[in-house]
Amino acid sequence: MTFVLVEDDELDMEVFRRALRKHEIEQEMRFARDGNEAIRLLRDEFVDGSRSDYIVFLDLNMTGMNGHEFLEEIRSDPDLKSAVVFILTTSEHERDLRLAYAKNVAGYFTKSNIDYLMQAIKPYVSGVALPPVAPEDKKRTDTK
Amino acid sequence: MERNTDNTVDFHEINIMIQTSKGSSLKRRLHIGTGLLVAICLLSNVIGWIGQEVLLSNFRSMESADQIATSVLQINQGALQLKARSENYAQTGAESQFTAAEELQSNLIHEIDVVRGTVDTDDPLHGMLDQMHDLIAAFGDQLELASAERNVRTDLLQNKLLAQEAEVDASLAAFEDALGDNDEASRALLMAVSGYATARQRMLRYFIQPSSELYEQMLDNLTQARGEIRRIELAENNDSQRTAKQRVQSALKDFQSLGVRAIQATRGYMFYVNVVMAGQISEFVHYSNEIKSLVDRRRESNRVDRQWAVTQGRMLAIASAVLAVLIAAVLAFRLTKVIFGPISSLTKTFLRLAEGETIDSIPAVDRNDEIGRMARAAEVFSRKNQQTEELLERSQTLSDELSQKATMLEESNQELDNFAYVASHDLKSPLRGLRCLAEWVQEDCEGLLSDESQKHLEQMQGRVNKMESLLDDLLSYSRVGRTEQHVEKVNVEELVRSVIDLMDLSSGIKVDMQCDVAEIETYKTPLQQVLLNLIANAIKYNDKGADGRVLVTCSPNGGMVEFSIIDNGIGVAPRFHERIFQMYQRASSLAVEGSGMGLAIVKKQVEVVGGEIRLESTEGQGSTFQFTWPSRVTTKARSASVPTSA
Repeated sequence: MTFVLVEDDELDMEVFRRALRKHEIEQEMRFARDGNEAIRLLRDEFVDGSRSDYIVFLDLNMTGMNGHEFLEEIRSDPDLKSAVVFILTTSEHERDLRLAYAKNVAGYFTKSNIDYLMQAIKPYVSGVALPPVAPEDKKRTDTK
Repeated sequence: MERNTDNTVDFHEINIMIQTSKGSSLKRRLHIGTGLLVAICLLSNVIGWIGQEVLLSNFRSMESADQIATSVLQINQGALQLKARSENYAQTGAESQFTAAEELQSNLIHEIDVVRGTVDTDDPLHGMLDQMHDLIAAFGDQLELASAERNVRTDLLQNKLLAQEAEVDASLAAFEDALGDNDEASRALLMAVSGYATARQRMLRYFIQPSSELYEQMLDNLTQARGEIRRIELAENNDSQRTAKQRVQSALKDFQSLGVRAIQATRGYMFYVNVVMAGQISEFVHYSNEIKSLVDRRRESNRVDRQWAVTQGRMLAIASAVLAVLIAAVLAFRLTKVIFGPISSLTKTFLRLAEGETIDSIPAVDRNDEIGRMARAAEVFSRKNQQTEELLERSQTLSDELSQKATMLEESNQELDNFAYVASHDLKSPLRGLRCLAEWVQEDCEGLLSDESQKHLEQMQGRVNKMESLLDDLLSYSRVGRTEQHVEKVNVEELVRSVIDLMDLSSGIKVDMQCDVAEIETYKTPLQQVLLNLIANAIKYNDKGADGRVLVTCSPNGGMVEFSIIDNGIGVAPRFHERIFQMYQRASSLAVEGSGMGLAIVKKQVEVVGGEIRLESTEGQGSTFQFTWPSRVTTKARSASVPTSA
């Protein structure tokens, strides 16, 4: 299981890291500084590597491609549309909530509640079953 | 000011117009119209009166003509009677007839005089009557003369001629006696006697049936008789015989001359009667008939005149009636055209003016009468309307500007709110970073830092916390009314109770409530926050320890619920009453926690839903916060656009 954190603030990356450490969650980590980078990363590492064991933690307010744009992009991408995404942001705005859940995010947490996220994710990662990579999906990505 | 002066000028103008334009006013026209109608009535009456007068005079002249006609008829009858009597007299020579004729004649003259007196001298009838009068008078004279002739003849016939006849007879007898037995002489005497007798006979016959032949024969007979007498041979010297002969001769001669005279008298009388009188009679009868027919013609023409007068009167009456109707119709038409047409169009104009229209072409403005004045008044109205319109436009512009300003103000408030929101929100993330960093330093360097640095680190964390709470309050202040709320049914008593239950009453303070409001429909969260804030404040500023008391009351007041939070705490000096509701303002010098935003948030929350909040308090004697909250919130969305920011 690999955690992909999409976050442009180094401090928040550190917060995430320390939170994992604090809650004794040891998982492989990948970092992306905006949506574009995250999509590239996902394609390179997981689609091409035929892996689906990853969870995306997504900040919404980023320079470059923001969280909503990223969601829009992956949900219309056949290879990435079933990706599990948690939102981790400072925004408590209703609109952000509504838009995020409209793109089938797995959960929405504010950064001040990062501890709750960690508490939830710890048993989650050990028990969750994730969709297998579809062979046609694979084929298509291969031809690409 | 400029408008005002304009108005004054307008009315002044109008006054002047109304006062000066007294030319041919409508009133005058109406008066003229009515006067004309009255004049027509009078004229009709006059025409009728004249007609009656004409008829009356006609009747009068008719009456007098009738009288004259009656008199003329009498005269005519008298004339005819006179004629009959005269002719009778002429034939019979009866004295009674003559007397009657004379009487008739004098009566006739009298009647003619009477009638002539009633007839104008210019009248041809007068002349005819004059002539008639003359004729009758002349006829009377002739009658006298005829009578005289007749008397002469009668005297001759009945006295002288008879006496002469007796003389002749006596002389003849004497001559016969004287002659004696002279046969020849006797025979001649017989012849003479026979001639005389025949002459006598013929004379008598002449008197009965005058004829010149008889007269001639009678003269011949007499001449023959006288010749016989003359031829008688007398005895010589017989004086008696001679004397007798001479006597016979002179007797016969006298008889002859008497007879001739009598016949001449008869002839004269006959001449009078048959020629003169008959001519006169036929003349006066002719005149009389002329007069009669003249009078008859007059009566006829009178009748025709009267008929004509009646017809004329009728025609005049009809003509005047028709004229009156025509003039009345023309007047009515004129009045309609002059008054009612313009008035009705003006009425329409006024109706349009009443609806606030401005009319450029007001009818009948140019007229110089009441209607013109009315139209000019309408013009004033139109001008007023225009002014009102302009004013309305101006006020519309002003109100547009105002609403624009209000919108701008709202926008700028909104911007301010947004600014507060964004600022507080954006300030929070570096602050959170600071806090994290301080925590990490503390975690990572525990035991490595000096006590002083450790203390500084803690102080830094304290300040960060302080700043976070300031920013949180600012955020919640700016969020008031921005977040979408939903209306729900709220049991006020339960809500207050639940808020009190949340309070920390460890100081021994007592909180009571009196609530007689059941359920309201409103946003629950802001109300809860307000109550929380105010009750917490009341507890926070308690300086009496266990004797502290807080009373929460709520009661319905119109469409609102009135909440009061009464405490016996430190109170607020009046000079702070306004200030404590402002941001970051605190009245108390007590060292209590808080950002100083609480009451500002409360005030904003109360006012956003349409309530009011006020404070009654004096320093040291507790405070009463009183606010109203609508018992039914209309879902007028007070949600403002919230900037998207993470």
